[in-house]
Amino acid sequence: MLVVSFIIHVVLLLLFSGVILPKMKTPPKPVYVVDLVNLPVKDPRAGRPDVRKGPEKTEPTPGASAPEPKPDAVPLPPKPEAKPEVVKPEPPKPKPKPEPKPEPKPTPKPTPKAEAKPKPEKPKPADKPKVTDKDEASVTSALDKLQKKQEYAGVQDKIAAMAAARNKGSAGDVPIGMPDGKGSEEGVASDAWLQEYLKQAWRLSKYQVGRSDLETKMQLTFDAQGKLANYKFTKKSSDARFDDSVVRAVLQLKDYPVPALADARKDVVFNLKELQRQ
Amino acid sequence: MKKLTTFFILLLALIVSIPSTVRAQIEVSAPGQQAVPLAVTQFLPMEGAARPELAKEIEQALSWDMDLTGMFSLVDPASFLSDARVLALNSVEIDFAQWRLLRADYLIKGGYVVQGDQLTLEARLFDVVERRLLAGRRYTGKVADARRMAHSFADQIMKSLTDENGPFNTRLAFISNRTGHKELYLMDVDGHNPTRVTDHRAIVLNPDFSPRGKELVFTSYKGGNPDLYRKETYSGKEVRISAQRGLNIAGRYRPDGRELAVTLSRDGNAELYLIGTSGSINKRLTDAWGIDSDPSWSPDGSQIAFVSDRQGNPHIFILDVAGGQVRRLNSSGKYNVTPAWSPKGDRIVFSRLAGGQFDIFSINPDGSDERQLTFGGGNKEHPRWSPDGRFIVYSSTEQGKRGIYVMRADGSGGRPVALGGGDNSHPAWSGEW
Repeated sequence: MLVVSFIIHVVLLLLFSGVILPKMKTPPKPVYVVDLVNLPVKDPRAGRPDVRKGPEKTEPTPGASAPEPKPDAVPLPPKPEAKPEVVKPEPPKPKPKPEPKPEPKPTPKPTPKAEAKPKPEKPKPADKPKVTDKDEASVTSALDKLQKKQEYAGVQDKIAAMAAARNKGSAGDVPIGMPDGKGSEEGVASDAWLQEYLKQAWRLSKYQVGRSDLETKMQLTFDAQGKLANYKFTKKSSDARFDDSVVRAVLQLKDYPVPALADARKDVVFNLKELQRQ
Repeated sequence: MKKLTTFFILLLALIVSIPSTVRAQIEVSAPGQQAVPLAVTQFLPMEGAARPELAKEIEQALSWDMDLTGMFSLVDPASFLSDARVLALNSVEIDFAQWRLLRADYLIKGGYVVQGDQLTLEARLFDVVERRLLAGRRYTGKVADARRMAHSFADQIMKSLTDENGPFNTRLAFISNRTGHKELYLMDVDGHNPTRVTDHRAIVLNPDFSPRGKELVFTSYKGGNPDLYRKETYSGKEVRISAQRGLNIAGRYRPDGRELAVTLSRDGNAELYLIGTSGSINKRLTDAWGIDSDPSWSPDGSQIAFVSDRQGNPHIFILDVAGGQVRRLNSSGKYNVTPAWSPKGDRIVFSRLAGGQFDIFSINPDGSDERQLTFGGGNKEHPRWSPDGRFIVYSSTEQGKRGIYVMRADGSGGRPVALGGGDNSHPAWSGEW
């Protein structure tokens, strides 16, 4: 009985150890990795990239990110557009706003052209109660002042954010964004952004290179505008095709200045680890 | 004790502080796109009248080749901007910004001149990102050779981007019964220009290309017996090189082209023999009670993979040519046939009958890492490698009729190249043509 049991155990062991029944390898399933967190954003808002999400930030700094968040508190007419028809107080204000994003609020005034004052009935006439045509000039100048103030506050905030980013201090109540952002989308940490950008820009077919254990290291230097100023290999792979493909990816940073990377120096490793896992 | 504690605290502080002084590395562990965007423009006349049908044919041949490689994603020609319509063949004249806009990394442009039946073709491959010429060739020949010129340039592109020549300006041999008899045919890699090579009006089988030139060996029942023939495709000259009693089948050139391994049954049982190119028997390679057939040489000529039923069902064995030792390649499957050793020596493909259907598998020569390459309905058989080892040609019944298909060595990208005109099977891929 003991012998029979022993034999059965040995046979089972042999069967499942692959000596008798060979193991059949099933073709590996491809793995697709999609990074939804670090996707480069088109329109980063101001803030600190390394802040991790906490309980929803109140509101970004009122400054540069003026556009979207306060729909109700902005009964202010879309600044310069109101001017044209009535009086022209002073020629073209040297408006410092860098880019035209005055239309984030499509709601307040449809097309103000014809009757430029539907605002009287607005619930929040706020500080400027009646805006008659005569007061238009003073309204616009007040707006400009306000805007300058806001921009100043924004710049202050940006400086603070950048300083904080350098010091790696606590997050405070700074929103997630990019230090120099002005848009409406959450930014991400500059390293994570750079990693994702380079990944997207890197195009290499596995049929182009014979091996998947290739690795190359580069040092990227950015200028004051955040544009790629220089790159150098700190370690080359043994495959020139691989290295070429990496250079092609890195060169695309020349077209895309990223203020968050201003004066930065980054060490980047390129390899095919994800392909090895497939 | 206190000193020791202080020492450890300091050591700890030192260890903790080290990483902060080292700049963090950013790791990019895979390319975001594994197919490189390539724009293939239609070639333009450099002088004389435009020949749109010719330009279309060149573009189609190039696009087909590039698509088969799996390396590229072809940019939709409908999105091309004005530069595609300008005959600009140097990197100064090309508006690379347009191609960057379309996210193309590489660009193929070219021009042609037709004078009578003579064609001159200028073809260029550009790197759009670095704005430079990567490969350029001028071809002259007959207008009818336009596709061959395009295939030849496709080979240059592969050379330029991978350091290894492509296999596109080569030929596929196959057996077809489109005339009512099984005859030997040749065609381009993409299935164009099929031409009949034999007119034996009998059964022709099992072609193989000579590694040294435009020669083929095959078996034919032309004389009533399955004898081995050799044919020069350039001269049409054909000779019977082995007419032993019984089978003279599955002739395969040794990689140096000086001898052939062949199955002969002159002594009753089908065994492998080594014969000279004139048919002289140089050596008997196997001696077993089972049938030994379908030899395939390792690239260095030291080993032969072959099929034998010496252990019951047909299985693949590896023979050491010098020593005569035989080992079974793998123990999986119950019916493994038609092995083909890759030109790089790293894989062996074969077909396996399982569940009433043949599929193609590949395996390392030491029997490890077996992978199934084909799936789905229909029988996939007779796999053979392209000369660069990137592709596999095989026959398949997946669309009903048996046709010739090609796929990449990893089993992806399979597509038919010869479907029409009867039953097509037993393909072989030539070397450089």
